[in-house]
Parts: sequence; structure tokens; C-alpha cells
Amino acid sequence: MSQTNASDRAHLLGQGSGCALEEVGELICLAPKDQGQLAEVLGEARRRSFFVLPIGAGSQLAWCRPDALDDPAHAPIPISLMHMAGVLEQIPGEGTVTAQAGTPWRDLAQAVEQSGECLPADLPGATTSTLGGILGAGRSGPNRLRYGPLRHHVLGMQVMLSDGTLAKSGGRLVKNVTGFDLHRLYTGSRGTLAIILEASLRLMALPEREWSFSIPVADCASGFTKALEIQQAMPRLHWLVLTRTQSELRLQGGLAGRASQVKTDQERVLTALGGTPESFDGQAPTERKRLGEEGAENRHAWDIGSPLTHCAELLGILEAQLPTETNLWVDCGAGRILVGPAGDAPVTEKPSWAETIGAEATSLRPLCVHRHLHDQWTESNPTTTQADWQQRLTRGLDPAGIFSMTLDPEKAPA
Amino acid sequence: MTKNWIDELRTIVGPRNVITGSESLAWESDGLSLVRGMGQAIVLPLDTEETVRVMKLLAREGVPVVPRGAGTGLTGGATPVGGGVTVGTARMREIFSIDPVGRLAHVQAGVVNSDLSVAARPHGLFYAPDPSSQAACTLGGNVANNSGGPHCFMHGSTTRHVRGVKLVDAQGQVLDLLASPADPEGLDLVGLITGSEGMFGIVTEVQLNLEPLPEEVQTIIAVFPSLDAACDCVSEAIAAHIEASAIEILDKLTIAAVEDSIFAAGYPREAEALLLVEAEGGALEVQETIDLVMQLAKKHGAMEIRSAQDKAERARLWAGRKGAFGAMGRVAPDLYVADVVAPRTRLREIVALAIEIAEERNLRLGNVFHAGDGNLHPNIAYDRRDEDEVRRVLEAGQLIMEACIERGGSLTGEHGVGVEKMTHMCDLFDDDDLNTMHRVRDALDPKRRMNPTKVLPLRACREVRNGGLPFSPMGNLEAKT
Repeated sequence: MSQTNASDRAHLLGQGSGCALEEVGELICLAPKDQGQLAEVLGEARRRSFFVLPIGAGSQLAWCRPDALDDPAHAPIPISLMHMAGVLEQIPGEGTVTAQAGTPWRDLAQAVEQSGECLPADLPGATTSTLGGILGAGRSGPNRLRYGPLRHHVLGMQVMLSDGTLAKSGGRLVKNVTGFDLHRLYTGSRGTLAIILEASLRLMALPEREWSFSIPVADCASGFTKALEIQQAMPRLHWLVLTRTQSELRLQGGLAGRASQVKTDQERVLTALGGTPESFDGQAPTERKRLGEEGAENRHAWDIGSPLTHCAELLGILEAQLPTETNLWVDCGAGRILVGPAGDAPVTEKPSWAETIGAEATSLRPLCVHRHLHDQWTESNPTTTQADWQQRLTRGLDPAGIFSMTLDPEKAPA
Repeated sequence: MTKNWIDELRTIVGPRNVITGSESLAWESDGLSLVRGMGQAIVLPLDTEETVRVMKLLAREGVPVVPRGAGTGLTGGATPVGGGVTVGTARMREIFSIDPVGRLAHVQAGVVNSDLSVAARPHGLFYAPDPSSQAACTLGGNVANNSGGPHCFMHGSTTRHVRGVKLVDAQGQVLDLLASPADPEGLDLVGLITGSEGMFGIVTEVQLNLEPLPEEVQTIIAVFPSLDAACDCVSEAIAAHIEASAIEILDKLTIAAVEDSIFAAGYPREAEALLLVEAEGGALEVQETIDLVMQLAKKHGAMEIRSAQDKAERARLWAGRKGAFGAMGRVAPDLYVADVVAPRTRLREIVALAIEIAEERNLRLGNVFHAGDGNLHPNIAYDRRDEDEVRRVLEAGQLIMEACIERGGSLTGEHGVGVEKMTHMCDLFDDDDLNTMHRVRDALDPKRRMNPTKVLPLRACREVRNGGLPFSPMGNLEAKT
């Protein structure tokens, strides 16, 4: 068994469960047609002790793709829910939407826009990404500055556990505290606990008007300090991002909402910015989308989180260590720093500087924490009790260990 | 009753902070006074360190633990119905820091909700979740229940405001999730803990997001000739994507109770229903929101619309709303506060059903609720000395819950499940759902010592159907300890 690669094992699982194989990018995936077939796939994986990985559309895997792992014998078998897609419920006047996990984010966004609403996370780079993949990866958009992270707007979920159990938590209402919020646990769990089947989200009112700006800054630390000043001057900013692409550093942000308010607020932002920023009215949505695409996580190799009070200092340290051609994308509202190689293509290989930056970030704990993007979280270094809780939860929900390949390497197929 | 380990508790926290015997009567229930229980002791540690020592001792002795904040909860969640020791946070009252740059506060769990906003105000900040009991309830209790409040319509419930927690688990281990970045490192344990009703441990410290004080606030009341009309106005406002910060409704009985009380706010007594709406933000957007509400209120037959002219009037209007539960004490000595959530498109229907259910049982029902969120609080005034009335109150409460769930609603919007709603978990969730919650609980507290006999029926729905609960919320409410 150890000589087989993920593709061979996918074929074995497909034969055993009757599930079709599909290509997602360069990956061969199991693509169950319904919940029954997914349960068959998981049952077969348990019997054979194969790791599996729900991958959504595979758009965020980049250099951590199962077929790119150093040891293909331990690579998980990808599962795609591409055939389990579609909006299940959107009642005008409720302000919520419920959809199956395989629904492309773009389709979901278009569906809710028709009722004058928008999704609570702005993910323009997520053209092919699925609802389940986005929630599993714990993604949020730049407009979290105004709305908060996407996980705050997940109202409920249905998942399948590794033993085939169907379990729901939360519900479809905007306010509900019945039972444990397990959907919060599944969101961002990167497929280590369960496979998300469907989810309900709160919706926001579609803004009447958008406006954005862009201004060059001298260095990362001063750019971030400027960002904090702008936030103080204008608490209604929707997004605020510091970027370095092609060695050029810019602070960019935007407003959205009622047309009259946006128009007034933009004057205040311009005054607070000083200098000669570029200002976008009609093109504001395009600019926002461009910026969002630049922040697509598959273009980056490191994801570093820092409290806002330490972010400027940390950026100064990173800037001194990183090659000047590396890209930076900093969400100034969340203290989230993405670091990637030059260019706008997905990162398909681990950059040479990645380990150095990871070690640097680790050495600064608790000033900051870092994650491998696309990788599972257990490689980070949480506190002992935190790690213990995470392991207990993972084992409690997935005792067979087929979702948690990094949890216990000894469990890998022999 | 006196045991060596209770003496050991006294050594840890000081003799005055371990309460036993008749002195512990004040802790025998929380805001759900129908449910009572006596544990072996109440312990009040000062901080995380003392809590660790207490919890390690109780783990050694295998004693169940009931976490408790101010005891303002309304579902029996802080009542020791399964016996054990109540561990309270009453002495944990320190606000450690307020970070105006990161807009974060670091507090002990026993800090009172409204005290945080007072402390944050000089920094131009406030803490958004504002339960009606905010002058008494603690932030740790808010975390346990994922508490709400009127302004959660805009700002969201407590879970959206908790950045980090420090928790002592059943074994006395400290889970330190403070100083976290905006996104969790690994699993979102903070999201799991918030709203878990004390079943994973005792939160001793909390890191909370603060919001900038709004530049502009406007508050209006609209007077309606019927509750139906007020509900329809709200449903249409929601469908029009109104961006108010709070949308509340009070009915005639509640208005009268408020106006007869020290919370008198100048609400018009002739109103069958009162809509209280607040908008906050930039001056222009606030004005547009208020204009839209006024327009809709007129369309739905509002007899009068009045704007608060200044801060003092706004404060009066809110004091009336937040004092409504207390004011109902003028109607009867006891109050059963229901907490259910209706689909926002079915507000009128479910409110009408609640009224019908109460009328059929000859009960006095007051409605005061977070209409914008569909979070209803049908409040039934009663006298607990009247056994038959108690029976009818509980029956009505159960029927309201069932009616709401049948129509796509939920059991609780902000008070939690506690003891009161445990059996109804099976109306909303099936065995697999509840067993999955048990799997999570058992992973973190395998001996199920944290807040036992709350939230989850022990063996999921089977137990409820077989009548195997250790006590019956519908029958004898004295817990078997």
C-alpha cells in the first residue's frame, strides 16, 4: 500500500464505493453524487485506513496539493463535492441563504444579489471556490473591516462525520443560540473534523455606492501606521489593505454603503490621507475586486496574524528580511499579513525563504502567529492546552483519523 | 455536609468565600426562579489561579461544577439542579486594560457588562452587546450564554465580540486563548466556548472587541393601533434591508407596566404597540434610515411618530425598554420570560399565536421583543404560590416554543437552553445532532462534571421520549440532588 500514490488509492476507493472520479485541476478526486455515496466513500476510506481531504474546488491548495507532498504514500485522497451544489433556501425578507457545500461562491454571490443583498465576505478571487471550501479554509474578505470575519456570519451547518453520521448545528435564522456552535468549530478546521455538506449565511444589504483610494507609502511600518490613523479618522471604512507588488508599496482602501454617506465620508478620508491619492468612483468595485484577487491566498506562502498594536513592528522586521520582489498583502483591519513570491500566479512550490520567515514569525510569539497556508493547522505551535483540546476534539469527532493526516503520522497507511 | 474538601476550598479562597448551608439560599436559582437546586457549596475564587486550584480539587473529588456569573440567566443554567459546587465569578471584577488602537478590552469574567462601556467611553469606544440586564449581568455570563440585546440587531450577539478567553477546564487546566490574532490559530475554540453554557469550563478572563462611539444616533418611537401592524412594519423594514441598530416592539400591557414603574419613559398609554427604532452611524445614513422607518410606520397605520430630541430623552426611552422585565413586577410577583426566535417573515403570525396560547389559559402576557432579529420574549406574569397558574404558565411556555419551532423558528435567541429548554432540544435536533454535541462535550469533559443536567439530554432524544430525565421541567421542579 505504501507504494501507491493518491491517484491509485482514489481509484481503489472509487471502485469500493461506486463513486465516480473527476479531475479538479490536476487532481484526481472522488466526486460523490449525493450524501449516500459520500458515506460509502468514507466507509471505504475507514476500512482501508486511507486519509481523505475535502478540497472544495482545489483553488487554495497551491503548494500543499496532495500530489505535491514529499511523501505521496501519505497524501490524502481528495474529495470534491462538485455534484452536491445549489441554493437550498433564500426567502426574501429573511436576510439569509442556505446552500450546499459544492456551490461555487460566485454563483452564490450572483443568486443573492438579485434580492438586493450581498454575501458577508468579499472574495473576488474566489471565482471557482466553493462555499464548503471557503468555510473549511476559514477565509474572509477585505471587507471584514466593516462586517467582521466570515465565520461570524455562519448561522448553521450540516456536516458528515468520518463515520457517516449526519450532524447539524445552529440553524437558518439570524439569531439563534440553541446548542453548541459546532459550525464555528468546523469553519476554518481545514477538513480535519468533518465534511461540510451545507451551510447557512447571514446576508448584508447591497451597497448603493462604492468609493476607493490608493496612495503610495514609503515603507511597510509607516504605511501601517498611516492605516491606523485613517481608521481612527473614518470608522466606516469597508476595507483597508497595504500591498507590495512589483516592489511598489501602496495603501488602498474603500467605502461602501448609502450613496450620500459615502460621498461625504470620502472627503474626510482624502483629508486624512493627505498627499495626492488616486481616487476611484465608478471604478471602485473594479479596484476592490483587483485588490481582492491580489489577496487570493493561493498566491501567498505564509499567513501571519498579529495584534494591531504590534503589526507595524512586525512588518518592519519582515520587510528587512524578505527579498524586495516578494509580494505582501496586509489586511490592516485584522492584522493579517500574507507573504508571497513575485508575480500573480498561484504558488506551486514552497519558496526558498518560506521556512526562514516561518521561523522568524515563530520566534516572535506571542507577538504573532503564523500558518502554512493550505496546510493543516497542527504544524503551528499552539499552547499545550490548546493543542490538547484540538487533538481531543479531532479524535472525538474523527476517531478513525481519516481526516487528520497531520494529527498522528503513525496512523498513516503502512 | 461538611467535608474535608470543603475545608480545603476555604483554605484556597478564604473562609468567607465558601458559602454553605442556609446562607447559600440566594444561589438556589437564577432568573428562572421556578427551577431550584441546592449544591454542596458556593465558591468564589478571586482569579484564574485560585480557580485552577479550586477546579483541581473538585476534579480530585469528582464533584460536579456549576459556573455562575451574576445569576441573571433565565433558563436555570446557573442553578445546581444536579448538585455539586457552584463556582462564581463575583469577585473577578477587574478591567485589566483597554487598548484603543486594537479596540480591545481585557477583563475578568465577573466585570458587569455596562461597566465596560463606562470604562471604554473616555477612549471613544463602547461594548456593543447590551442585554436588558446589562447593569447586573457579567461579561463571563454573557460569553457562556452568547447573550444578545437590542443593539445586536446591528452589532451581532456576544460571539461576534469575543476575541479571546482564558478558561479553566474540568481538570483545572488553563486554556489561554488571550492575545490572539484576529483569526484563530487552529480550531476556533473561542467560537466553540462562547454560548456553550459553562459546559467546557469556567471562563475567568475575556478579551473583547470594542466599537467606536457612533457619530450620530437617532431614536424614534412609532405608536400603532395593533400589534399586528407593528409586526408587519418590521417585516417590511427587514425586507427593505433597513440598517438600523435596534428594532424593538412593546405591547400594551408592557407599556402600562413600564409607565407605572420607576422606568416610566413617556410611552403613550393608548398605544396597542410601540415600535422603538434606533439608527447609528454617519449623519446622512442615519437620517435616511430613520426617514425610511417613518415612511413604513405611516404606511402601516402608525398613529404617532416621535423622535427623541436629546440624549436625555433617548436614555429615557431605552430605560423604559430595558426596565420592562422589572416593571412587569407590578403586574404579578413572578415573571416567566420566554425567548424564542421566529422567522422574520412570520413575526405577526407567531406573536398572535403566543397571545392566543396565553389567552386560552387565562394568563397575563406581555410582549417586549427584539423584533428586528425575530427574537420574541412573550412574558407571562404569574404568582408562583398558585400551583395551577404555574402549571398553566409552563404549559404555555412549552406550547409557544413548539409553535415557533413548527414554523421554522428556534428555541432560544439569547438566553440559552439551560434546564428549561433541554427537553425541547429534541424538537430541533435529532439523535445524531445531539450525539455529535455529546462527542464534543465528552472530548473535553469526559466525566461530564461541568454544568451537568443542562442543555443536552444525557442520552439524546431517547431519554426524553422515555421520560428518563433526572427531573421534569414540566412537573416537580425541585431538583433531585
